[in-house]
Amino acid sequence: MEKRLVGLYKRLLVYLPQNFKDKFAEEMETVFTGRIREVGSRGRRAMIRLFIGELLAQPGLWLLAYQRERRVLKMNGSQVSTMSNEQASWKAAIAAVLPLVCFPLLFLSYGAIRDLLYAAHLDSLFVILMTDVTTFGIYIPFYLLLLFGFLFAWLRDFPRWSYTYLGWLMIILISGLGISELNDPYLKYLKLIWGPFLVALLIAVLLNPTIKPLKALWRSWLWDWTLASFMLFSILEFMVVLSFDEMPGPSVSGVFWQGLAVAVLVGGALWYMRASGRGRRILILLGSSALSIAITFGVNAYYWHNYPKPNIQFPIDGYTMITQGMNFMLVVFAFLLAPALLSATLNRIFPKQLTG
Amino acid sequence: MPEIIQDYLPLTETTFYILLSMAVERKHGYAIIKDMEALSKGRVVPSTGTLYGALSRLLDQGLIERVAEENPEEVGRPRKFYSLTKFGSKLLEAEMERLRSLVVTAEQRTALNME
Repeated sequence: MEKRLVGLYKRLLVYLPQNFKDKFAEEMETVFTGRIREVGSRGRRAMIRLFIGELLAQPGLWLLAYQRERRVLKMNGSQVSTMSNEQASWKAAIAAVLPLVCFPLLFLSYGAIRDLLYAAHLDSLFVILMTDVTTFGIYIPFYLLLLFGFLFAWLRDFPRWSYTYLGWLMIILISGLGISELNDPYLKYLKLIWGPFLVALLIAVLLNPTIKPLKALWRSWLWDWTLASFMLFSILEFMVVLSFDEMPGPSVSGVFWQGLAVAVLVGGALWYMRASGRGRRILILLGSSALSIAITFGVNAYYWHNYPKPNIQFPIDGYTMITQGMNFMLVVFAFLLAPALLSATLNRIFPKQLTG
Repeated sequence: MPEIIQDYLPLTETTFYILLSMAVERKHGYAIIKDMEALSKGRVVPSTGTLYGALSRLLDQGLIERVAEENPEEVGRPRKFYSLTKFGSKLLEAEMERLRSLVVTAEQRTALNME
């Protein structure tokens, strides 16, 4: 218990700003360890109460520490630069692919549970599971992950890893505008989506009340066009995952190819983060997205080609649906390519302005 | 200097007890919490986060200083101690004077009422 709480406390300290962490984190851990040992003799409840007290003090400490960090950086005349050609750390690379891994996992786990219930003829459980709340609720942890990512990205001037979070947030927030013409039963929940985002934005502004993160975002975006492509990677993943959705379960082969197409994107994102130099990063993005789209397109075309047409029970004809889906995916692919090609062209025309 | 000191007054209870705990001798983080608990008779017991948030602010304001001291009996990084700066001591004295005058004023008023 004691070790576990100290471990949890150490994790809380990780989120403090760098300067504050360097200066005080070790001491804070020592003090907390001493206190938890002291109250340990009074039992578990006392230890948990102490930990909760620390937990409640964290928001105030973060607010103070981030304000202090801003003052220190201002005094030193330094700023965190996101304009770097260097390879990212493994930690940053994993942070970048986290949303790309989480969404398909949630999506597939829900489908897998549904298929298993079908197979076991547990229709009554299926009905309970298929309510709007549970279907929508399964994505709440994912949305929270994106909001936390956004918050930390704001505090750290939107580093490279944050672009997958921004891409996913873009998808979700645009859905939340309710401009979709789809007759989606979850649209009533989608309208609530902007609330938590605005709260996260408010917290971010309170912790770091300046437009410096937005300036850094704009500057790094202009400097490194691969970042815009990288942000669109999230949209591509969304389309790839959805493209396999209409293969009715239990469709093991569909899940396999879906997983493979996603794994190619995740691998590409990891490689992108670890690569140094924009040229190499552009090639990685294009290569992995091309491979993923090829898998998605190939498997879908094969599947729907063999599908006996009279048995299709969807309101839209299967072939039309797939053609529309593929057309849309090609548009996304073109968008993905455009910034990268622009970067490569601008690099050739104005090498000094971009690299200087 | 006096007008600068006035800018920092009145102190919050937590700040007052932190400064007071260092008034006699320098202390490390854990000892400060224990001392605050004793001085306030268990009323003010800051969390570790609250204490270090306050310590960082007091360091920035130049009210306290931080010293690393090697202890030959202890292994690892040197322990950090906190002590009052001259400005911190003056501020603490000024706050005590302020509190004293409050009490004196209150006692005079209540004494008059009793008469």
